[in-house]
Amino acid sequence: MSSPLVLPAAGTRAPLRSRLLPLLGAAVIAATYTMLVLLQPTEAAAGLSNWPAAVAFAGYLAGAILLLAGVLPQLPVSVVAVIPVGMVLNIVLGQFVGSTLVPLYLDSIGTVLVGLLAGRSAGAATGVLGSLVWSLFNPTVLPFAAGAAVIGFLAGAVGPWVLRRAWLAPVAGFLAGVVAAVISAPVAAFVYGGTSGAATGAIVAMFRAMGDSLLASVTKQALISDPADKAVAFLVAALLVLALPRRVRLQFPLPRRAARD
Amino acid sequence: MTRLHPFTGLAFATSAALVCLAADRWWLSLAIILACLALAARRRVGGRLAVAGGAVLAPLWLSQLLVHAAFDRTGSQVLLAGGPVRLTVEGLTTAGGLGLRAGAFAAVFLLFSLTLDRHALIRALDQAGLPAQLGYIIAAVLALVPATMERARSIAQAQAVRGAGGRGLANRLSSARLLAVPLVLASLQDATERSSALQLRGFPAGRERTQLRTVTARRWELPAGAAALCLAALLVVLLTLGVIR
Repeated sequence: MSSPLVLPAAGTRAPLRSRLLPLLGAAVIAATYTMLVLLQPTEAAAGLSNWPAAVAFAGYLAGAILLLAGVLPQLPVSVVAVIPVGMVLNIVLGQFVGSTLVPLYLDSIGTVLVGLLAGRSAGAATGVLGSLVWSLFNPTVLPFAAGAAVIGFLAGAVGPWVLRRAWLAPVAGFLAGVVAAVISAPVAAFVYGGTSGAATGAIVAMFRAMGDSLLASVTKQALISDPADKAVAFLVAALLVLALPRRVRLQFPLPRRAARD
Repeated sequence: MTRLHPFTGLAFATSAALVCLAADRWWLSLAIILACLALAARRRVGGRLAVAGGAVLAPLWLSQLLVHAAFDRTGSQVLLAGGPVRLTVEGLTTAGGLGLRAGAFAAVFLLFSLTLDRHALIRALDQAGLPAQLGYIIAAVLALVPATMERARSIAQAQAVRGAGGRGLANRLSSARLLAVPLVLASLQDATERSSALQLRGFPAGRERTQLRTVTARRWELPAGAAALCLAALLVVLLTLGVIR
């Protein structure tokens, strides 16, 4: 994206609050996950315990909002302008893919695209904001905001390598999918008692029938679905960035850095 | 009918969602769903709430039925058994309770969304001193979704006229590429232009700029919203500690 029209003051650093809040948000997400995994609740057949659902919902959402509060004010206007594009592409391309009966979600292409173009902070902000705004139409995505933030963050982290070697994109997406699956599984298990889709629910049911606990079944299902989905999303987003005309592509920080190195 | 301030509605919706998740009582979830439907009918959005809720919840309910009821190995009161399928009363009870809880969760937020004045929400976020970027991004997404959908339709029609598309995986992938590349390119080009316009106008300006519209809350709304959130948090703590069973 084009450079800001106003030059930044020399020697300015992000205020302490903007450095602490994302760390605090990440710590809240990590603490929520650790608490849910270490103190696994009783089995569903005996009735789910009531605290994990509220803890998973409140802990993950609070962590994601803290992360957003620290990151958002620091983003340059050029990046703020591109975040809505990523969020809208998630919705429009996700819906188009859904209509083609491809058995993948591909609703994070926009988040990955912003991460690959504008970096980790922009990717994480797009993930959280995407979940918050999409929840106005589909409230069930709200507790998954932390997982979406992680996808955007990881896309920005691997961006410089992926844009130099496109074949790395599915590998990076696969690994990001594993992380996202592990983070999102407690939400799916404890807030919704399974998954939000019928096909994925059938896979969870299969693992349950084999004697696994609910969290183990949902985690295994997520580890099957998410890496494949994110591998395709990363590959598509990387190819889209590389398919852009050089004039447009080099206006963004990560492709510019990839071209320079 | 006067609308609630967006933050009051959000506080009520969050409190109700937290309580229904923490309490996990089927009768409470059912009561919240019925209350949401009654409030929606009063605001003339009952039909939209039912349709949107059904679309959101149908796959979730099917998944819960498969996970908890259809292959239940532990329940003693078997209703149906054959092959791997083992439908029990206990499994159905668990799936029903979870389904009602998810239904109540979705209903409170959908009711908030359907009765929300989105422009008022963006204005209220700005007035509250939250980063102007947040309001801009929400406003931009709400405006861009229909515009981008329309652009995607136009591109798809133009590519169809050129003879793109057809059956088979290769043709589907080709038509997806022919849609996605111009859509992303045009969207990024627009974002570049918007970025220059925003910077030229000094975005994000300080809070001292002239406001053309203000969103005000009635006197009772702020204490009522805060009380609802505090009460919900207290209930969650008491339920978690096992003081209330």
